[in-house]
Amino acid sequence: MSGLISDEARTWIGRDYGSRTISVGRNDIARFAIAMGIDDPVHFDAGAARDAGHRDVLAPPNFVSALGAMSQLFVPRSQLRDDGLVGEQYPPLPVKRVLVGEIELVFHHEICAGDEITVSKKLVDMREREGRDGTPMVMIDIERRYTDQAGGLVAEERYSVIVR
Amino acid sequence: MSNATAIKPGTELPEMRRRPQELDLFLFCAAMWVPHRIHYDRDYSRTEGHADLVVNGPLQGGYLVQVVSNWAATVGGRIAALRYRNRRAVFVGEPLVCRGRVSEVRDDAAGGWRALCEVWVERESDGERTTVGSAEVIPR
Repeated sequence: MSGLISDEARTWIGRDYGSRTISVGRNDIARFAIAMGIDDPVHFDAGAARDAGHRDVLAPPNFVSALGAMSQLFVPRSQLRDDGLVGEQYPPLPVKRVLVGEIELVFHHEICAGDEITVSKKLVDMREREGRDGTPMVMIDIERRYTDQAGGLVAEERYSVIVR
Repeated sequence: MSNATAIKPGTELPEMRRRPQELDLFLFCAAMWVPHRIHYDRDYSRTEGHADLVVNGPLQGGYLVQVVSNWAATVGGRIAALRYRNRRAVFVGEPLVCRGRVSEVRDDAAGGWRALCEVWVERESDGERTTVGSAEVIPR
């Protein structure tokens, strides 16, 4: 291997990026359902949601992706770069290009309006790999955990970032 | 209804056709809170080397969640997990077909079951799979 990961970069394995708690409102869920093109009233109307056995307006399963994005990008305007993103914190690596690899979402429990979801993020692993064309690259595995106001794990998200 | 014997490997999940337009990218970026300009600023997107506005990867992941959830509801199940990878860029206005197929059904000792599905999004024009992945469905 070509030694892309320095000892200093290696210390980032296990790094805790901290957490952020997001209040889930009925309008947040409705907007997300509209954006996904979903018409089911359980995502818009508390009565319909309760009739169907939910605690309140129900979030579509992948609403956790929105919470993940918000936990990172819901920042003051002054912190957004010209491309619209927030500078990601990555280990010191010879980075030219950053790509997102596989994304895994595990849905344990439903999220409803009124929930307070805490999103925590961790860098769980980093390893060197050879790309299809033989170019060395570094795969970084990131994990986000979503817990509710009672501390219960509602969803998990793992994704890999490819740095080359 | 809600038992594994009704679900056979090879079963095709009802397909869903989508053609995300500028409006869909706006709504998705707004709802997700994604301010990345490659999704709504065409001139900027080209400076990053893209042919046009880029359809969000998680929007395609969301389509797959819908394909799986819609089918799961018909067998008394719900989606428990989704793994996916965006392997080709999709640009605004490209017609997509979102599909899935049951690959395996497992019974567990407690009388439950777990259906594994292969899922993908393909570009209608050439059949290229732009997003590929797998999903798990369990009893509701």
